[in-house]
Amino acid sequence: MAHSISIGTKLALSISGVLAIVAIAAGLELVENSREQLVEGKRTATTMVVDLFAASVAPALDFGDVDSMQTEVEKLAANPDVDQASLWDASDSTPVVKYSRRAERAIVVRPMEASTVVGPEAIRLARTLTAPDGTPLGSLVVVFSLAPENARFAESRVRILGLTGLFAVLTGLIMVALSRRIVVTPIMDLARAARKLEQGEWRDVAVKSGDELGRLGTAFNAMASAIVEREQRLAELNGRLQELLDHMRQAIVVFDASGTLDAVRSRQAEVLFEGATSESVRVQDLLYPNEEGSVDAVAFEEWISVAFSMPPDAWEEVAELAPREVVVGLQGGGERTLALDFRPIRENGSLMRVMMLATDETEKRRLERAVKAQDEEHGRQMAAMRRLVAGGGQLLVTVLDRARERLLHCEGLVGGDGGKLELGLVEQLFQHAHSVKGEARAFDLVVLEAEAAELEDYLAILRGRLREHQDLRIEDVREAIAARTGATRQAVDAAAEMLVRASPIGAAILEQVTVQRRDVVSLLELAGDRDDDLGRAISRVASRPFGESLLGLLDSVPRWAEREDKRVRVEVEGRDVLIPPDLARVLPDVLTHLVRNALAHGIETGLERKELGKHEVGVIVAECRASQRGPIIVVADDGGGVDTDQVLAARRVLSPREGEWDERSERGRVLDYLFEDGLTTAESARPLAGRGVGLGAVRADLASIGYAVRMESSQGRGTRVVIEPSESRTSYMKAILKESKS
Amino acid sequence: VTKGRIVIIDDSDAVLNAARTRLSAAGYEVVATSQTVGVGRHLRGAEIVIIDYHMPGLDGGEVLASLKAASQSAKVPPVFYLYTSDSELEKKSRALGFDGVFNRKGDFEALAQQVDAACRLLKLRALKGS
Repeated sequence: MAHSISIGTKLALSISGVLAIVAIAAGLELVENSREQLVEGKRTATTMVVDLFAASVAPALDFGDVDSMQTEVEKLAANPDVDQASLWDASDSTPVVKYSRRAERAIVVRPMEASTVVGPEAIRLARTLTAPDGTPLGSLVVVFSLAPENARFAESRVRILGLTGLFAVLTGLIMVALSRRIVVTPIMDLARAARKLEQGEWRDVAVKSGDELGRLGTAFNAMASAIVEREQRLAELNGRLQELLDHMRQAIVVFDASGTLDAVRSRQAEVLFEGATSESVRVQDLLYPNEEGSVDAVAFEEWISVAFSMPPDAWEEVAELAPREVVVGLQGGGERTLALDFRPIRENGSLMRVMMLATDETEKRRLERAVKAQDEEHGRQMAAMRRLVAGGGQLLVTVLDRARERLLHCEGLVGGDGGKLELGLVEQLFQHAHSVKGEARAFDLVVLEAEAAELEDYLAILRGRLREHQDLRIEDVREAIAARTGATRQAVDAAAEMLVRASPIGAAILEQVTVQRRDVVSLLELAGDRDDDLGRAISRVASRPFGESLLGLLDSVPRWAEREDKRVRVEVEGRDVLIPPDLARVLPDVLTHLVRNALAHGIETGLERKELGKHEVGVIVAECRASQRGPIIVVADDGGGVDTDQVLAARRVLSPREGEWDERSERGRVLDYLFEDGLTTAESARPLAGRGVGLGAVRADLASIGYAVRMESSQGRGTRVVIEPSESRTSYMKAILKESKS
Repeated sequence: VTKGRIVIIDDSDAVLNAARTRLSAAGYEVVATSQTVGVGRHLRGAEIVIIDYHMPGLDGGEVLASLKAASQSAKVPPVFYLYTSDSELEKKSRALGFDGVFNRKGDFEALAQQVDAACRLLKLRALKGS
């Protein structure tokens, strides 16, 4: 971490340091000069003193008056600066008189000539003494101490250094204060402004001077203003882009070569990926969370690698190999299906990022699955119906009953006290499971077959382990077997429910048995005209349920409606009402005519119905109810009813006559006219109606077996066609007998 | 033109039927069999071989080894995927010699998606190597 001493402080300390060094050097030089001046002054003074001393002591030396010389020396030594003094006569090398303030330092060597030597500690003066005639008398040496001068010098040096230090400190402080005010504060202001700018907050830096810092501040303000302006433009652009993305129904994210997402994403992305689209997240983890190593995740990882490494012109080829769809788990449970699309984002021709567009297709897939399941269910029902028609309904019931017995037996085999699991027991269980599976397959009962196969698989594994001489106990496998037999029994129940739903005669299918026609005829002959319980029971045996007459018709109605650009629902009531054999023979064709007629002429198109305030899906009801005289059948629709004017116009074309029409009488018979051969209200023949033969044929067919047909209509509300036994119809039993013999 | 040939080996006819139906609908040529004898001839041109490991009377590992040996001479040998929903077995799949795992056995929509992913992976690796 960089130290935090400000640049102003550093500058001030540097200048103060230099100043202090210079001041110390100058002070020391000054002190040295002062000392030299002091020493020079002392040298002059000591020269005079020594010259005077030499003059005063020369006579005494000339006369050899030692006492006088001693006295003169003592007078001289009274001067505290005199450190030593020695006096020689001309003939002897030993001093005549000598003095030393410190005995050990006495001068003993006679000087040969006059001299003045200034040393660091003392001034040494040597003089020769002569008589007035110039005869040499001797010599002397006097040493003056420089200690007082040196002491003053040392004191001055300390004071000068102290003052210089003080000067340096004061200068430093002043420099720091000045530099903070002039340099540091403006720079700190700039630094703070730069930080604010980085955080997106910006205001002008105050420019208080015209110097370099002032110009720097001005330049900073201009730069910051440009940055802010550019940021605003980018923010506006991003805002518009975000708005665009947010209005798209896709989840949009952008990722780089490592798969890491960047900041660009649509609001829908947050929704579909449940807020997991933060910038550090990788797209791989977004699409395949907790699936690292799965083939899907590995393939996608490889795709990213290839996409970013291939040349730009290979994009189309690479894009073809991207995943098209992914199923992601939801936090609250459930799954979401996303359709995926990938678009390249290039810079200078190179692929820099990839945009992924994910569309939620969960509902679409659910609907597709529902339609598919419906189709499959329909297929299964049709298969079941085919078997029913072929007389296999009872067989299927038998198979389901047997499957229940087998599964209960399996549960019983492993439901005891436990013990060692024997291979023989598993073989027995396996045979049961295998039989259930085989029989389910024979009837296209896919779910039951799959559940039985699951049970069989598990038993096969157990068998394999036992053959490898592994020790297994019943109690260890009981739960697993029970779970599988339970699931298989549920599939049996579901198959039975499906059979009932698919059966045109409803739950009665579970009670049906197949009998021979000749046996029925024999019974009818034996019964004769009996109208007792036995006679009625035999008549029921010979009859067919009403629902059988609608076989095939119900499947065809949606297709017919589609051709007419209409939507219609057929409701059946009284499926299990018994129909005599003669009516059962003609009824499928009759009902087909009536339903097609209702669809072609009665039911309006969806658009017309919406305009009329009706539900866009029309309803045709096929109803059968029992009566004393026999079954009464009604086919009703909620369409527009019969257009009387149109029918009358068609009637007049079909049967022209001379003279006036009795309008009132004609209108009263208009519904009967519809059953006349050749009458049609359609302008041209259409696939469903319009040839004018349908209702006429219906009336004729029904009349041939003693049934009448009539029509009731309400303009705008619908039409009802009623089929009922006519007065001329022979007895029910006779009709059955007649039909059975034919 | 199909999206590629897929061979699936499983002892359950129900699984084979459902897998064949779903993968055929997805555009693949499917060879679905519970027999290992003679499977070698179907390997020619196959891109992916899907093998059930737990088959009564058969060892999935031996089946894998024999099929791998049979496909050695092919110009482009198929990749072998383990078909299981057993997470323990899934962990051992590489050690057993499989190239990968289709790990949602019984979910035939998932199987179709995983087969798609495996085919894409093959093509991507071929593209990368070219």
